[in-house]
Amino acid sequence: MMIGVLLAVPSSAARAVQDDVITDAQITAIRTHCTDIQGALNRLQQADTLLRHNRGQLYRTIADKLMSPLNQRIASSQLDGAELVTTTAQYNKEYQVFFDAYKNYDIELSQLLTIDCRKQPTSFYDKLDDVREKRIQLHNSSVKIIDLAAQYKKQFDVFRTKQLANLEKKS
Amino acid sequence: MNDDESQPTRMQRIKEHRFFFMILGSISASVLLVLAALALYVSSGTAQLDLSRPGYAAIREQIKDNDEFSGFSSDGELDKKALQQFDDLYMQKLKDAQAVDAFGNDVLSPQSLQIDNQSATTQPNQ
Repeated sequence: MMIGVLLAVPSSAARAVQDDVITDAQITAIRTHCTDIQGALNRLQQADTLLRHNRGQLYRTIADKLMSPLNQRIASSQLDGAELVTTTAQYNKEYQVFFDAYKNYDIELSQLLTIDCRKQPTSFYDKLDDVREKRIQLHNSSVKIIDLAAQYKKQFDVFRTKQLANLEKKS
Repeated sequence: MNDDESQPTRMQRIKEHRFFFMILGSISASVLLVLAALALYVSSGTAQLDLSRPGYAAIREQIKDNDEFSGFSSDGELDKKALQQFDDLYMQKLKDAQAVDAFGNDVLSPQSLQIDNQSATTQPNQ
């Protein structure tokens, strides 16, 4: 069994390396479809710019117009909202990560668009891999922001239950 | 000796053309300042987010302003009504955020661009 594991590890690693290496058929495909690929990448850059703007605005709205005002109101009412404040701080930190991830992704994508895929298909393929990696990082950051927003909602529900119970006791 | 003689001549020349040197100096200073501003514009990442650039005219038209959303007020008591109001507003925005899997589709994969090994070998050469 150990021998099997030892043999399996190098073979899977070799397969991963093999996937990264561009083949002659792929070089031909890139050269043949160069114009189509560049057109698709240009459209993608335009669409992503709009998406980032809309997402950025939405993520900022959640923090600036909802989380922060509630935290302020909790603080001015001298109630315990420590968990909500912590999540807001994590959310804002992650927003900065998202902001930087988009910048890095867009820089890489712009660089990819400057490569002539007919003349340099290998460089184009390698750069495409880098851009894809940056896009995955951007997606992960976006998912994390939404998870933190959902976490804030759960914490708010707990806070709300406690606060309503306190209000009932007082009345 | 020659240097001593040429020194007043140079100074005289500068004095004679002081208006020209002043303009040249002003232009050089403004070019340097513009270059510094451009370097900051690019290095800070503003260039990536600036939708006022000429290439983004189509995108500017599609942008919807979010100004009408007033949000939750930071003033007032935290009574049942206020908590319900926050819950409604927050759920509205959270649903919007969760509705789209932003940057999730793998549009840059070799498969999507039809340059993976399988697509490349099955495609006829054009």
